[in-house]
Amino acid sequence: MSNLLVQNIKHTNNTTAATVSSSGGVAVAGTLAVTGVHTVGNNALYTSDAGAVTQNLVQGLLKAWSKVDGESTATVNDSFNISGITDNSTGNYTLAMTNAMNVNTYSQTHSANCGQQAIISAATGAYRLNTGDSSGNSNDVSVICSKVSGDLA
Amino acid sequence: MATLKTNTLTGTSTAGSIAVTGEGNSTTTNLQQGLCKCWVNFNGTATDAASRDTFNVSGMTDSATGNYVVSFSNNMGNANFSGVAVQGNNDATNAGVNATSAVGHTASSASGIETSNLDPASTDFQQISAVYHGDLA
Repeated sequence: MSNLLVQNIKHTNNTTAATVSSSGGVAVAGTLAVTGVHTVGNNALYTSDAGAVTQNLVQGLLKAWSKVDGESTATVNDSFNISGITDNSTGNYTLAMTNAMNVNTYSQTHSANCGQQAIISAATGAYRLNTGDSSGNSNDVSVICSKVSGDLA
Repeated sequence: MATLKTNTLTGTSTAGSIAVTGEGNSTTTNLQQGLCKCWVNFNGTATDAASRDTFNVSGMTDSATGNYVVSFSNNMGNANFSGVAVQGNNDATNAGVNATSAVGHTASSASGIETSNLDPASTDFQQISAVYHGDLA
């Protein structure tokens, strides 16, 4: 194994690009650009907005989101990690996820433009929701937004 | 594929501010601001509003029927964060769409959640999920 012993990495114009601390940390002075697809490990921490604490980065990421038109043929207008939708019955939909969750105890939140929405059930690969009218009767609606937070498989 | 291995992501100019390039490649957005700071799935019918799964939750309080408090492990920077909650009965034929959930009183260390039917009368629900976005301390 070869070792490169260095405290600073500089451009030829003498601008410091990165500094290596005695504890092994590296502080990048400018933009860190990684070429190609890059992966962040699930143990990565981030410094909080006000700088007082650190929290787990991956736990804070939404694992799925979608905007759905639930009228007539239910359609997914836009989404992340959603593979498809099933229109089970009036106001009753199942959203399937491309990458499954690790357990079925994740947090799912929904908003429908009728104002009434509810969780029906959760499985690792899909979740089911209900939308209704202002009287609380199941009803198809044109805008359904949902978000999933929790542990990916 | 390149893998960036690190334990902690901290901004160089401002510790709690890291920019990431957006999906459309035309803008950058703040990483910390885009992260969910707390999420929870809990059973509102249990006497102690038992949580099933959480992130950044130190405990649950069942204050009264349909009235719960989520306490944060790491506090928010203020009480003006954004919270959303949704209820369910865990029943496909009576999901709980004739009900509503609201994030009520908030503090930097905790958030209240209130669930009710459409009368409206405070009601406990078997499935309650909530997410919180905003500034961590």
